[in-house]
Formats: sequence, structure tokens, C-alpha cells
Amino acid sequence: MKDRRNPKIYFYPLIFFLMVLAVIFIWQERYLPLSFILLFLSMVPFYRRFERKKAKAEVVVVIAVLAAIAAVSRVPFMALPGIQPTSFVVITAALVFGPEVGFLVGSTSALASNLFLGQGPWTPWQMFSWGMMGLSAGYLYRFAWMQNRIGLGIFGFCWGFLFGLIMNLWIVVGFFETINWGTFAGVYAASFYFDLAHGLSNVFFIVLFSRQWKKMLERASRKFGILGHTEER
Amino acid sequence: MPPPSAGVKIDMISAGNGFFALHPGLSFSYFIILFLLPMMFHHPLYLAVIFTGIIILNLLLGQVLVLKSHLKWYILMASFIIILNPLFTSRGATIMFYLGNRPFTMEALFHGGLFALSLVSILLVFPAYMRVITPDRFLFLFSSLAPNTAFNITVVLRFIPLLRRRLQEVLFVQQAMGIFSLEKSRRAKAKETMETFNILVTWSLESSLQTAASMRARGYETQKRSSAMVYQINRYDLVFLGLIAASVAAALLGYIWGYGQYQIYPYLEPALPVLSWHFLTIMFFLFIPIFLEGREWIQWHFIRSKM
Repeated sequence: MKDRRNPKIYFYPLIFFLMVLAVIFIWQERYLPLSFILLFLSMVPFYRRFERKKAKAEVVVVIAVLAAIAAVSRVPFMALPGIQPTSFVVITAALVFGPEVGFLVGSTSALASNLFLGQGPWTPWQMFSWGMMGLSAGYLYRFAWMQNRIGLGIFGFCWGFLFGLIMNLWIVVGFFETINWGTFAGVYAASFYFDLAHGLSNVFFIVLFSRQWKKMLERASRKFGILGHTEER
Repeated sequence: MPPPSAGVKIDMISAGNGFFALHPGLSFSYFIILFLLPMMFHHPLYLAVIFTGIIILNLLLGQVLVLKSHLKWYILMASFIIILNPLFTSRGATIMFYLGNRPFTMEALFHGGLFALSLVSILLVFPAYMRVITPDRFLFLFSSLAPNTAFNITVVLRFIPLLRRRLQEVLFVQQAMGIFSLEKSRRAKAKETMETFNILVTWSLESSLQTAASMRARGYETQKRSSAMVYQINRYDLVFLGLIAASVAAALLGYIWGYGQYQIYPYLEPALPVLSWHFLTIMFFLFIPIFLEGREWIQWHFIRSKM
């Protein structure tokens, strides 16, 4: 694509400015804004990779619809607290379409679902966690132990806790002034039940539905030639 | 979030007046800084001013109902933080009472209050942000910096209401067929809900790929995408760019020099003598959109046409 306003012109100064800002925040011990800058910087490479490609219309739309599905999936399950298939959708999307798409689906769905559940300082953290969930699912899928339901179930269970681990960091950074082992222990103890529910619901969905979902997504990708597209790049 | 029927109204406003008249790049940058301010200054006076400024901005932008509907949630969160902090921290000299062996200090409680005020201020920026940076403005802004990502997010924003409507349809049919009607275990309910959800997924995947084909037929990826709305930087924008940039630079410089810092432990520092040029700069920064919107409001309500 020829672009007269070259994005690179803004890109490096922006990154540089953010790094300077990060140093100021480290020095002033303001960890919440610092964490946002670091999260943003850590997600930039993935989005940049996505930008560098000439994205086919099908790829863009499939990523968008999967992210929307992951976001909307929280709606019918509102009656059942602790159960939400968002993580399951992100993981399955990553299995079929690869780690990069997994990351994009995860992080975009976090951003989008908070549009109706409420945006807040937790949004970038959720974007990061779900993005990483998709990314790791896509990468680990090349190993044989991940390719059956037991391996996937264990993976989903672990991510229930990993997700809590990352999200608790935001609670610790955002809510407490003294960050010590006591605060960590308190927060992790408080979130244990929710993390367990998240992990178990992941296992539940993976065991019951992962085959069916993989079939559904693979069928869609084959029909419109998306899988071939993701493999060739 | 505005109801779907309000679309036309928003377009009319975003064409036009007050804070909306600024170039989206400028108002976007303004909001980013507004997000950072309450995180940077944990000083009671600064936070009070920032909080008030954000509330006034929301009111002027007509977000009263949003604030009201979220009020309970804000209060819940704030009280949670206020109470939690002294339970984990026993710093501070003024001990109010003991909880077991741990002293419950006034300073820690006060710090909890500051934290809560800062967090609620951040949350309150969102309604105003959503009002001003509408999806079309967002797309306009990021279509040069990150075209694929911006477009992707816009498509997601379009899909979510569509999918919710479809989901409602599917649920309606499923209910008519007698699914969800019996008292079942949690597990069975979850299974049933997911099976219902699968219908939505197959439907949406199928139709989305048709969307893609249709996009291609209309010339997607043949050329650089153009924007429906075109915003140009005019003199008005340059003036406000200057004002915002100057106040931000001054605020950041003062921040590095140590203005806006507040010492809580061991004793609360008196807050009032800290009124300084730096504080006035922050006030000025907060006042910019209030001035823009307030002028419109005054014109609308008080100035009679002399025709």
C-alpha cells in the first residue's frame, strides 16, 4: 500500500517519548502509569506485524468476527457467574488460525467486550492477558502433547490461574501503596476461587466443545482460503 | 454508549461546536493526558481539582445519565479501596484503633482515599472520551498510523451489536422450542447455553465471510482507504495545540522538579500552601475543554438572537 503519510514518521518518536515517560514514572515511583506504558510497548510488536502485512479482507473480517464472538460470549453466560467462554474462544481461534491471529483475537476481544461491560484501567491488562493466551496456544499447538483434549485441558486450566496472576498484578499496582509479599498473598488468596472457576470452565469447554469448534473454524477457513493464507506467510 | 438511534445526532454534533470542533488528534491527545493526570498526582488538592474538572466536563458533554447509572459501581470500588489500604499498611503515626495486632492508622486511610479518588477520576474520563472520540473519529485518527488495526477494531465494533441482536433471535427460538425451561444443574445449563451459542457462531462465521467477499467486490485493498469524515487542522486547532502543549510541558517539567508530590507518612502534610504556578497550570489544562463547551452552553442558553 502506498501511503503518503508514512506511519514510520510518527512511530519512532512516539516510542522514544513513551520510554522517556516510563523513566520519569520509574523515578517518581508511579507504577500504574508505568505499567500502562510497558503493556503498550509490549503489545506494539504484534500489532506492527499485523500492519506490515497486506491483510486480506477475509483475514481482517475473520479476526473481527472471532473477537466479537469472544466478547459477546460473555452475554448469554451472565446468568452463570464465573463461567465465560471467552478464553475458550480465544484458545480455539489460535489453534486453527495460528499464534498471531490468536493474539489479535484475544486482545481485541478484551477491548471490545469492555465497551459494554465497562472500560477501565484493567482494559490494557486484559488485552495483554488474553492476547498472550492466544499467542501461547498458537505456539504450543505444534507440540504433540497439545494436540489432544487432555493436553489442551491442562493448558486451559493453567491459563485460568495465569490470567488471574496477571490481572492480580493490576489490582496490586492499582489499589495498594505498599507492594510487598503480604499484599500479593492477600490478593492471590482472594482471587483463588475465581481463578479456579476460570480454569475449570476452560477445561469444561475444551473437553466438550473443542473438537466441534475446531471443525467449525477449519471449515470456514478452508471454504474461504484463509488457512492457506496464514500458512504461506 | 449512545443508543443506536442516536447515530444521526452524534454526526451532527461531531461536525461542529465546542470541544467537538477540535481536530480529533488534538482531543485524543488531550484525553490521553487526562488519563495520566490522576495517576501522576497523588496530592489531595490536585486530585480534587482534577476530579471536579472531569465531572464538569462530563456534565457539559451531556453524560449525566451515564454517570448516574455507574454511580453505584464507582462508590463500591472507591469504598473498597479506602478500606483495603489501611488493612494492609500500618505505616503512619496517628493510630485510630487496633485490629488484632495491627494498627489502623489515619494516614493509611487517607492514602486509601487518595487512591480511590485517583482511580474513580480515571474511570470518569471514559464516558467523556467515548462521547468525543466516536468510532468514525477513531478510524480517521488511526487509519494512517495503524490502518489494519484501526479497521479491525471498527469492524469489531460493528459486529458486536449485530451479534447481540442475532443472539437474542437464537435465544428466542431456542426458548420457544423448550430449551432452558427446566431446572437443571449448572453444568447442564452451561452445556445448553454453549450449544445455543454455537448456532450463533456458525451463522456469523458464514455471513462474515460473505461480508469479506462483498468488501473485496467494492474494492477493499485496491487502494489506500479514504475516510468518510475529513478533519483538517485549522488556526483554531493550532491555537489550542499551543495552549495544550505549553501547559503539558510546564506540568511535566514541574512534575520532574517535584511539584504535586504529597507526603503522607508519618504525618499528613498540610496541603494548602502548595498553591503554585504548577497547580495553576494543571487548572488551566483542565479548564480548556470546559471553556470550549461552557461557551457553547452559555451561547445556547443566554444569548438571545437580536434578529
